[in-house]
Amino acid sequence: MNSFIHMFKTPGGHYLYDVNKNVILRLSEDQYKILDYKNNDDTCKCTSEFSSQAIESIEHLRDLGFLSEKRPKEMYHPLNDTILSHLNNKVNMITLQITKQCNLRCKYCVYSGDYENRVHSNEKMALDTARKGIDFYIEHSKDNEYGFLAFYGGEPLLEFEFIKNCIEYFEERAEGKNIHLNLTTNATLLTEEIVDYFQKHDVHLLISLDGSSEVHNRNRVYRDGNKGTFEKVMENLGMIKTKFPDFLSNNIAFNAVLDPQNEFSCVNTFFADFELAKEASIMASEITDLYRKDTVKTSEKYISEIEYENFKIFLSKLGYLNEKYTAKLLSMQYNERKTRYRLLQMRQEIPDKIHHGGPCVPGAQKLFMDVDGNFYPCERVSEASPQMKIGNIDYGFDIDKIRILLNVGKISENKCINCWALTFCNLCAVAADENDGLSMEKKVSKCSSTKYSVDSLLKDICTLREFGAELGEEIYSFDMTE
Amino acid sequence: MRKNERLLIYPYNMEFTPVLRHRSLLMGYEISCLVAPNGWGFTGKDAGIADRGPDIGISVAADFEKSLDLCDTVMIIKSHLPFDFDKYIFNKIKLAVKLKKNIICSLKLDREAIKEISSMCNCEGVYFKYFDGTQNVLPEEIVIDNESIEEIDTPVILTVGISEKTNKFEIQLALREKIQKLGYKISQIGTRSYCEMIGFHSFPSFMYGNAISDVNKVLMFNRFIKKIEKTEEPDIISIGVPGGIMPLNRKFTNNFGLFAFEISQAVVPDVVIASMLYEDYKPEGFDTYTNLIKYRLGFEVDFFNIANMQFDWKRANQEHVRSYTSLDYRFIDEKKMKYSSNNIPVLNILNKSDSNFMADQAIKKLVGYADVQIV
Repeated sequence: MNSFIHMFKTPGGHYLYDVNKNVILRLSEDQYKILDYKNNDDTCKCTSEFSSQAIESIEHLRDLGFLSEKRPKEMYHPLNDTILSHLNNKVNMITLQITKQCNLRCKYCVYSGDYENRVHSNEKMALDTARKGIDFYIEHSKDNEYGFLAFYGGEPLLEFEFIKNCIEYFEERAEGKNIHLNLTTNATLLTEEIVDYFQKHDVHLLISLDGSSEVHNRNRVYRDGNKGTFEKVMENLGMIKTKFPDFLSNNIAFNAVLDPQNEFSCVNTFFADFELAKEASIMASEITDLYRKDTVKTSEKYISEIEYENFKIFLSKLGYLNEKYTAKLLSMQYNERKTRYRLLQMRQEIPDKIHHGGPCVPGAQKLFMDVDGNFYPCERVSEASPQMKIGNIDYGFDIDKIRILLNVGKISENKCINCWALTFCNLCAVAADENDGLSMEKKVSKCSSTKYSVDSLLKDICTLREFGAELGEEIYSFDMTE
Repeated sequence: MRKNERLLIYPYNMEFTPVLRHRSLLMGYEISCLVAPNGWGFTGKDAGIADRGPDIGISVAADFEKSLDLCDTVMIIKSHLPFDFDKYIFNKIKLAVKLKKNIICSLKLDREAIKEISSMCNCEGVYFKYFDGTQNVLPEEIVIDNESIEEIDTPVILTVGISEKTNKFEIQLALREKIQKLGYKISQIGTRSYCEMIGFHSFPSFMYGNAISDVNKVLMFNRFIKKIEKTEEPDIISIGVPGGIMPLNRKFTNNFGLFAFEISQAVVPDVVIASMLYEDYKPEGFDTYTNLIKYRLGFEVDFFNIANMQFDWKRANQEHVRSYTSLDYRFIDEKKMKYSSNNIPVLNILNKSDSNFMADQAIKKLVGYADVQIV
């Protein structure tokens, strides 16, 4: 068996990621070639082409415990044994789908008909169901110092009175906890009365705004006709700026849905100049491929623009470019590298039982309750998929289903235990969901793109490190802050 | 016979559950009601929910005002979760005092609050007892020139935690209850500030703060124990060490286990109980901990206890916060089965037969010492 490693090069160096030790080692070119030959069973070349010193240096790495061939024996999630405790005591948040109705018909929406999982309907949640959901959450989050309630739709603001009822009930039931309230909205229905209430109750809004009028109105249109909503969103934001300036700067974040068929630069320019959101956090997400009937097409130009903007962010973090020239929409990219870098913590060897990265603790991480009181791991999964329905407000969590989703690596175990990218994998059960069961074939069809992303990520990390980026935690500088 | 004072405990949480489990130890008090804020999820449930242990037979209420009718004294305690004093507690204290209830407080307060509560209590003719760990065994200003250690002749049982939140107080109270029942006289120093209510000494305040050098802390703790030995003439001394004995990692350092180190230099224990958070340890993993304690603190472990708490590494890594997941105590019973062949017993203190076993075996070991008389 070969060493459990992944080798890669950057323009500035040769590296290997040692899966057992969970660290990246910098190699000399000779070391890299020797390992490359050995991993390809071409040991003749090793002995003939290289100096004994180079070969000895590889042996030295083995003596230090690197280059082990050990593979894990099974996919077994580390939280599998304590899953009940997490579900009983540590549910992180609850999101209520208070209505399936929306006043918009966004062309890329998961309710638009282009997806297998959802369509718009007149269904809405009963207040009693919402209250039971809140009680269930309080009961199952005893270990948390905070209480996190989110509203989701359809468009939740179609049900403002319902939201008020829920917030007041939650504030009473969550007494003693730090309360966080969140609402995802298209912002077309915001009124002074609503914002005033939200300000008093410290509700945080995530507003969907895709860019300029031209970009936004291309997809985000009203239900009755094809009229875009950009102008109404701007009008409402203007009202908030005038009457509730603190709310605008403290409680509003924007999410731009990027359409990869378009250019990125025009969206980027809009947000760079967007006065109303100067202090707000802005994030971007691409039109989701999950459960989509067709695939989302991506233009070459879009990819190259995104990559170039990422490159500029790296330059800025390294001190070669002023931050003002970088894309605020992509600012999380660098932090993601830092987060991933922190996962590289050296260990003795890979445990026999391990699970690849990706799955959350279904139900405990982002509990989503639909209008009928059914539970799902989060708002992204298919409500039409029986295996994703992990419980109900009346009978509680379905622990057997949750264990299957948590240990989704089991269905592709033979591949996963030999995969060098398993620690950095981001595939959860959604990647395997065929609506009528979890499919190994569907899941592994995503492996090559996942490995490609992880390989790029490791290359980014090493390149940044070559240029002196401090990706670890800066405890020293924190201590020195006055 | 003097009637016991009826206590209302607020905000009830797992910090106080060991006292409830061993409430017969309370000296002059009885528990009349437990009140916790709604959001903690205990309302209407048996008090055992707080530490996920067996049922206790007292239920938790949420209505503080209504519960005041049932008590003489309100005891404000520390909580396992952050809990805003001004927002939730101070008004309740004012209300209680107005209704002529005494106030006991083991929560750390600032000077202003202490002054204000004292003055309110004075006006209403009720008492305010504030536990700040002040001890009266030794004078506060003791100067020790002699750097040598007094020998403690009474057997010492020491309870340490590998880290925080390891059910140490439950161990200390379970042992006390059992040892007293067996007819032995026990002197005890516990890890809570209100131990005097249960008839023993709180961890002395001179061990905290920077006013005294570490060397003097060791010497003072040694003299503190010696004085207790002389004045109380116990058969057994039980000491609980606050905090953990070692850092979890670079970020969560448990004060580097300094208390444990200082106490290990001040007294030589005869029985050592080491309690740890739950992880899926390999049986041989306990050998590592045995050696670690042996070479770090200088003593052999007699019993390991696995607490029904797990450190939340995910939150620690992502949010840099110290957070725990509580586990049902029966889960520990299942998991400890795989250590049944270990040389050193691995126990679950919330299991009655384990706590009995721990006390019986500790006594057996100490009685065995008495068979050998060294002159």
